[in-house]
Amino acid sequence: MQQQDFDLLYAIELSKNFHGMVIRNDEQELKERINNIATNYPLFGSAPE
Amino acid sequence: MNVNLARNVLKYSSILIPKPDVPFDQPDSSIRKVLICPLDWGIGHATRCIPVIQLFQDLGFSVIVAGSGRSIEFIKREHPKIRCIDFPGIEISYPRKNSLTLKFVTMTPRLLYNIFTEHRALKRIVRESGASLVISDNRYGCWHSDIPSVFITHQLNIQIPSVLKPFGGLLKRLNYFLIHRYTECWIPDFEPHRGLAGLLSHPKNLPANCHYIGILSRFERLVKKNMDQFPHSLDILVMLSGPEPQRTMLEEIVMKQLAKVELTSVVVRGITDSDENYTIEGKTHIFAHLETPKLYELLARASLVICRSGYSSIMDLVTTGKQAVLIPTPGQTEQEYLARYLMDKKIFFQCNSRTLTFFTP
Repeated sequence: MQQQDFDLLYAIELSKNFHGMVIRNDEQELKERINNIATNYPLFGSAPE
Repeated sequence: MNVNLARNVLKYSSILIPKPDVPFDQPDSSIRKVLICPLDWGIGHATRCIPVIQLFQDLGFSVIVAGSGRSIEFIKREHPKIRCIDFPGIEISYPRKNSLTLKFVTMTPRLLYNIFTEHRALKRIVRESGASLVISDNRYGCWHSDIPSVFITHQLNIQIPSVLKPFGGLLKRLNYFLIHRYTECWIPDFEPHRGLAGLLSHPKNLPANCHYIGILSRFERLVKKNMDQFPHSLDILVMLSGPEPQRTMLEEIVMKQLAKVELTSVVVRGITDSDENYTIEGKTHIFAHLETPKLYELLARASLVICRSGYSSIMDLVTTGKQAVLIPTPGQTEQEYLARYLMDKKIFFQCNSRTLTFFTP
């Protein structure tokens, strides 16, 4: 089924076999990265001239 | 998990001391300024920057966003108080027919030149804004040699049309060369089991400055608050997005189909230059665009979502735990790969020629 041949009812029927998934991001990795830059790059915190 | 959270709160409270925000006409050099530059190919790059913006603000940073087009319009609507700077990038449109290869080849010199001009413009913006950290969401020219700069991408292995496969190695080397200009590269995916983006974000050799940061969705914080409050009262939510003219073409196809069925539906057209909202025959509600809280509510109420297989849309779907039908933008090899990969993993159904062959009895 190409985009132009999209059939809504057909897609709804077949999608019943696919249940998606659930993922949560507690932002810990992102905080780690920000922390890494903040501690390793002393210029971070003062604007360059 | 809670122990980790507590440990990190203690750690960050000592290193990243939150400071009060101040108006921009009264600059305070003690406040750390972060310049965030999302790519303007649709709004997907801007939407996934929302959790990054929120976290930096939580940690006491002042956030400035530099971008253009629909991307920057989206940020202005979502965060009206954030300072936005006009920072044009290269404009791209997709052909009406499925022949992207020639366009890709002819655009290459322009894309490379754009990286050069973008890099020069970024230096000026950093100088004028006083930013001390740059976050670039897939804008290759946004590194800075004097301050740390971060590149966000899920495309370490860029998918290219099959006739261009002989140039794949060269493209990969160029991609890695540019990624190495940055202090770090953040991959919005998780590492195990090839993650959500499969081979795109899991190459054989990961550059040393790359780090997986988990998926990024603008709905993450809303989900934590109240996902279970809404009953399923909507049959279908259609979220249109992506480059023209393919966005309009899919809209026309879907609207014709919805007119034939007795299902309650909402269509979010994904355009920012209109505020026109209306209802057709009392069952199909059309919105030009919706702000995140309202869109989240509709997502929570919907039994099924129909959308493009852009990576930001997929991250939103798994954050909200929705069932979905994915329709890749024709000729967009990355979207075609993602839709195929996630269908092979039995996560989302996709519409393409292979689907029909597979399911027809």
